[in-house]
Amino acid sequence: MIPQTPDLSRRAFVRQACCAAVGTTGLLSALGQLRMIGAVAGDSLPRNTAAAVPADYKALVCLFLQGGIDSTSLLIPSDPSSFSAYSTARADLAVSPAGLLPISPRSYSDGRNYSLHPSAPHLQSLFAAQKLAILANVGTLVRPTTLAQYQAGTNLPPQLFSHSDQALQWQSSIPDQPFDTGWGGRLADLVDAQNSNNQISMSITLNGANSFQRGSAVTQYAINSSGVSSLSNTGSLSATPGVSTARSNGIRSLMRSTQENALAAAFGGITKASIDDGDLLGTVLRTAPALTTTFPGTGTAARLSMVAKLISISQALGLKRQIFFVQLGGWDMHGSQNSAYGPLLAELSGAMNAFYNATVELGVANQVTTFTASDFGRTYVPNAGGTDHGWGNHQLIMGGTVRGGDIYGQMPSLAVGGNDDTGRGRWLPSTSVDEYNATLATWFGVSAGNLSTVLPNIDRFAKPNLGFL
Amino acid sequence: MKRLVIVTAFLVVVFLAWQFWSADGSNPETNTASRGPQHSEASDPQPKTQNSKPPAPPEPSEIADALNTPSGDIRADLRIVNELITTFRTNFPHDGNPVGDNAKITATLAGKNRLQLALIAPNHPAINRAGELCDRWGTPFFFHAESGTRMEIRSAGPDQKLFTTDDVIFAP
Repeated sequence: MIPQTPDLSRRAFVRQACCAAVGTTGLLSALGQLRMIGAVAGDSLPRNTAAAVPADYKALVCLFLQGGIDSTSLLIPSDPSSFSAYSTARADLAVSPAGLLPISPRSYSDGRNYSLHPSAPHLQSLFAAQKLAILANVGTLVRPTTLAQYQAGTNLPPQLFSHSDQALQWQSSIPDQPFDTGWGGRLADLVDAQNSNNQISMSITLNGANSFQRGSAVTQYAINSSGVSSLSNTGSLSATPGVSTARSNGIRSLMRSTQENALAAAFGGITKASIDDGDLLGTVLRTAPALTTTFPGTGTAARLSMVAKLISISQALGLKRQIFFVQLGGWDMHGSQNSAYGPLLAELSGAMNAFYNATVELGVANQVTTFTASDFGRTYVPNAGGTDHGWGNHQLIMGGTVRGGDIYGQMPSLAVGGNDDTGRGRWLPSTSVDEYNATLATWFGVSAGNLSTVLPNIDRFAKPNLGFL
Repeated sequence: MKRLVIVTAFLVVVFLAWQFWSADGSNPETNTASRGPQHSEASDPQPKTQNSKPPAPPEPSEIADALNTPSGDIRADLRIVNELITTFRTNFPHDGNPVGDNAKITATLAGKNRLQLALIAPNHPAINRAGELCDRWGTPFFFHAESGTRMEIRSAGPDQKLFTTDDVIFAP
């Protein structure tokens, strides 16, 4: 039976010509990718991935500690006088002095000695090696804010102490506006042109869709700690050879076919692109050499291990700038904090250490900066075996170019009822999230003139560069 | 004749409607809550006719009347507290839920807000001396702000200890 061909109107001709043009572009792109895959997989190329990462490569890794980490249990005042006051304030949450891990900041001094929680030995080592810095008492701010302004309700971020709102504000860095894009997404939009190829997004998430990486142009690409998540039974990599190939080809053919309905056409195009991207990334990932660095058997370590693999194939993907998102949840400890905090901190400490070692192995330690973020800090005054939602919090920055071994910003007074306590030890932030992010963005290559594109509120604050990078 | 009947009926309906609204005289926006003065003296164009009398205190809200009463139970109490928060949010749609710890949230619900909207009387028996809203066993409710519109409310239960097995939780 001969299919009937409808009369070709001018409108239909233009539409189909456009589709053909787009399809040709995709074909050329695919051919380019195939050449790239061949180049990576070719035996003639050295398999040393350290040489495969370009010299001007840079990656930011956001490690989001979902739920609000109690960082005053991470960084503990440990000289006798300060520890005594800390023990009194924290009551049954006070860490035993016997196991504390002392640190010696290079230049920061406020008259106290500090130690890390006993479950963070790797963080202590990284700090001593000057590969880890601590940023004290950073939080969401609309403008620089005094305690009197807080009490008057002036210029406050909306919904302080609410999980989703504060996490969103940390990730958008625009607390006083409805959410539109994340600061990582805006950063990607700005620098994506530096990548020679963008079939695989420079924004990769190991924990699903997130606000941080939401941009206007660059779309985040989600994978898991095992690699690419193919659509069920469509990936040529994941199913039985032969059957899977036929099925995969059939689906591709279906998605490629001309659709009269615009929605169906868009769905088909996106689905096909997703399958193609998955196959491409999966194929290139198989060429990544196994790392000798040992990662702990935790979920966070597995995700950071995958980030290291992705960095090792960055050149094959044509990426000189990458932004990764990894999340570790479970920090919302209103009760049972004494039993839950240590193991979770140990997971964080071990995973961060292994990831840093992997970047050293790959030769990119100076080109990768990992930073933590979290919903908020927690109350210094405990609540029934746990802590409640707070505000200012300490964060960690790790990498070869980090001016580590020091504390940046200003530690809170740790005085309940003091002049930086908004109630029950909810510290008024002395450093804004914008200043923190601006320092990271500057290291990533954003010029001073472009900072406000990524961080629209940065001009309200005094220090667009906090000096830890 | 038919037209006359229709016109007469219409006039009767209009008259009855006018009678109804005149007798009510309340601002439907106030709902079951009570508000403090909504106009400053400077902005009020009407002359004061009762300057010698002190302003009337806010009428007690009905929403919280049944809170912690013997005829209810803890689940009913939690629903009432949730209704207080929901009603607050309805009146402050741009602000969302009240924020802060129990005392601050309670103060906000009791009228410490920019409209002086009192959803619960400040002297309600469920509010303790520290200004915290308490459950029927006298323990302050625990408010867990999951988002600007979602507040989990926890009662410590009969053992009066939070985060134990007899806690009762309202998760909207």
